[in-house]
Amino acid sequence: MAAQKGSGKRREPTLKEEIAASGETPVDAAREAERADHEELRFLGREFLTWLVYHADAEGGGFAASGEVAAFAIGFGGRVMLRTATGMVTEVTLGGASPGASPDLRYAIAGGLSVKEADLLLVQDDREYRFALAAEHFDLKRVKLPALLTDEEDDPVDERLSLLAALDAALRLAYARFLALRTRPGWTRTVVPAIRAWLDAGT
Amino acid sequence: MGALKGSIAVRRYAVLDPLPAEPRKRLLKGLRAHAFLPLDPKAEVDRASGWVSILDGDDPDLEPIKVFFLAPGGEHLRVSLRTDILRAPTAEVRRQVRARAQAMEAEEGRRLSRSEQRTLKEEVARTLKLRAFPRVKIIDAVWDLDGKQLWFWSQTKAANDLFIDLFVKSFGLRIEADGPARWARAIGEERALAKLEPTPELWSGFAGVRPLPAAAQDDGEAI
Repeated sequence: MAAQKGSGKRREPTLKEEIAASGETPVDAAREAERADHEELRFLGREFLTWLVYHADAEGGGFAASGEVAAFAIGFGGRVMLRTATGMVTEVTLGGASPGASPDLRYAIAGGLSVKEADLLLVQDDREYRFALAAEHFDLKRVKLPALLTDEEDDPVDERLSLLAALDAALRLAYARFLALRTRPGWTRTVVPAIRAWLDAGT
Repeated sequence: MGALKGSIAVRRYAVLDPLPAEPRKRLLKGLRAHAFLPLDPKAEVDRASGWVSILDGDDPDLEPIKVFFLAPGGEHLRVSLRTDILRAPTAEVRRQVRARAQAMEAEEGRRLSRSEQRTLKEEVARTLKLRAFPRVKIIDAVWDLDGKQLWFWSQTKAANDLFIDLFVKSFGLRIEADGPARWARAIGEERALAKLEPTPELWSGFAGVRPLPAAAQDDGEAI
């Protein structure tokens, strides 16, 4: 029913006004996607990988032995993929000899991009593992295991799976170390400022 | 994609429920109930999925010796998920339908109706399907029965959805994909985790280090 000019009748409410009057909140897709992503602690995946860049470059990337897991160090390989917060489509991939140490990477992190996938190098005893780790499910991709040391009577399949399990155990230890920092007040008081200083020095 | 050899791209799962009583017997029964069955080219169905031996992707005969393995860390159940898709090649169907339609129209002196074209297409597709070879995909899965962890050698959504569905149907056990949330719950103290919020700087940027988008600098609400 069209409003009539000069008739004194009010115009029809817009859809936006009707939604507001009904008490329903209009859904902002970007916000909703962001909220879903932050649910259930999934944001920790990208925070872990982003912290790992700092830890590898500024602190040497070392992790002390714990239980059955021997000490190891993590470094960054040839490729790092970063993304902005959910709902904002900006993705950056940095490649090269050592993108983990590059000013471009620090610049991206300083701007709010976090690491969603990275090529990593894990060295433990005399073994070297190369792989890509994705933040969402901690999927392992393009894994190159250390050369097998199988004796003739050993099963190479068993050794292959054992090495994979060892890699998994080391990554869980690295994540546990990150989580121990992340859940303490020291994260905000000490670690984040240290990351800021590291970014400042390199950008 | 290969647990035993070849490239490695894996997704890990945690098995949430305990193993059933008489686990070897029950698990084997579940595998056999959902073993792979080859497609019948004459049937309407164009896709088949099921379990096959990890030692031979053409072998759906799942005996204990082909499924249970004693590994250094404990016992494994190792198996492969095979999916066959049998469809007539689209381009060839289109080509033959066009050729036959033209011949029929020339003979009858009129254009084929929509339903006649549809029937023709179905007939051509059915004939070509009898001569086609299925596309075969085999993906390995290794279940560490003692560690309650599963490794699946694919990261695509479709393959993982299929795997989860078949696993639950076969064994009646729940599984959950690994990842930062799951690992955190396994490692971290619940109260400390409950208080966690995303670190504002890591998601919106470090103000003062470099220029940030306007939205990220608004009133300190970083996220």
